Parts: sequence; structure tokens; C-alpha cells
Amino acid sequence: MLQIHEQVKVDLLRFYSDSAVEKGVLLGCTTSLNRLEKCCALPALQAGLYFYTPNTHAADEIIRTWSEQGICFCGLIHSHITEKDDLSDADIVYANKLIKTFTLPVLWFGLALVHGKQVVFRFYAVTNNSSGKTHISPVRYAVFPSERRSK
Amino acid sequence: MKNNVEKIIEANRNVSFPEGTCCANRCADCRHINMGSMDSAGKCHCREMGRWVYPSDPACHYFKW
Repeated sequence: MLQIHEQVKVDLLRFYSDSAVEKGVLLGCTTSLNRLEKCCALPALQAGLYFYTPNTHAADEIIRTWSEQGICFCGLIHSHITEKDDLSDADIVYANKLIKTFTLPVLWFGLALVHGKQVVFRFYAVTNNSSGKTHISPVRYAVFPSERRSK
Repeated sequence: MKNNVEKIIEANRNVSFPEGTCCANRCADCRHINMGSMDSAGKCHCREMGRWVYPSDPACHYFKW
């Protein structure tokens, strides 16, 4: 199961609520690939009601900065602001591209389904098998809380 | 576990993010749709299918970005 830090979920909810165009966010981890602890909005090269083209230069910059901070890029989430509640063919093509580009045992590909202020998240695990075939499967997620500081 | 993450960071240090588009496959983004042809009902003409569609309609299997 995928674990998402509560602050990441709060940030994602805030970012996607009331979106007028599709938007994307990079996902990162620091301790384990199945614990999403960081996120950063990824500007669009172009975006509209039904599409989102990430700015790849901005992505490179964010991932480079993250790597210097010990944060590992491990996924991308983008929004659908219509009733399309699963991955489109173009989304699957892009998820394939990402897992073939990056050396990752698993890449998290997320969907933020935006209906006004209400946002529902769906996550998919993208993996490559030994013969290079890509698998995309839905995964459940749980939110884990911030560690409380002891006095 | 943390060691694995550090190895992955190192492996991806000089990798460039691939170009591409996430898309909800709606008629509005299909190259077959003439968005300049919008009628008073909000429909646009599809050159491929030869009919009028709403830009927000889910695209058919002829969809081309």
C-alpha cells in the first residue's frame, strides 16, 4: 500500500481545489519509495480543461534540487477536471515514458479528480517487468501523520 | 531502505524528464475537431466523423492529440 504524508495530502488538496485547468505535481520520497513525503507543483508548458503538458525544464530543475536535498523523485500526479475518472490513453503513454526514462522499481502515477472544491485522489503503480513490459495497476493509499516531536 | 533511495537518486541524477502530454481525451483536444466552427449550441464539427460534437464529449477511438 502507498503511504502519503498528511502534509502532502493537504498540499495536494489545496493545490487542486477549484482548478480551472489540468495541473501536475511531482512526488518525492526520502526514506522509502512507498512513502510520499514531498510534493512540488510542476508548471505546465501548456494546459487546458482537458490536457496538461509538463514543463520538462522545470521538472529537471526540481528533481535536481531535490536530489541535492536527498529527496528522490518517484511519481507524478495530474488532474482531470471532467468526469473522466480513470487514466486516458495519453496518460498511459506518458506513464510508460516516465518509467522507461527513470531508474525506478516503481513509479507512482496519480490522478486528482477535481469536482469544484471536492478532490478525489487515485494512484497507480507503474512497473517494468524483466522483459521490459510495463504494468499499470491501481493501488490503495493511506495517509500517515507527521511525527510528533517529544518534549 | 534509505540506502536504496540514495542509489535511485544517484541513478537518476542526470536523467531528463521526458516530453509528453497528459490528456483526458475529450473532443476539444482532438485534431479532427474544428473548434472555429462552434455553433450556437456549443457544438463543433468533427472532420473525421462528419458530425457535430460538444468539445467536452469523450473522444472516440479516432482521437488524435
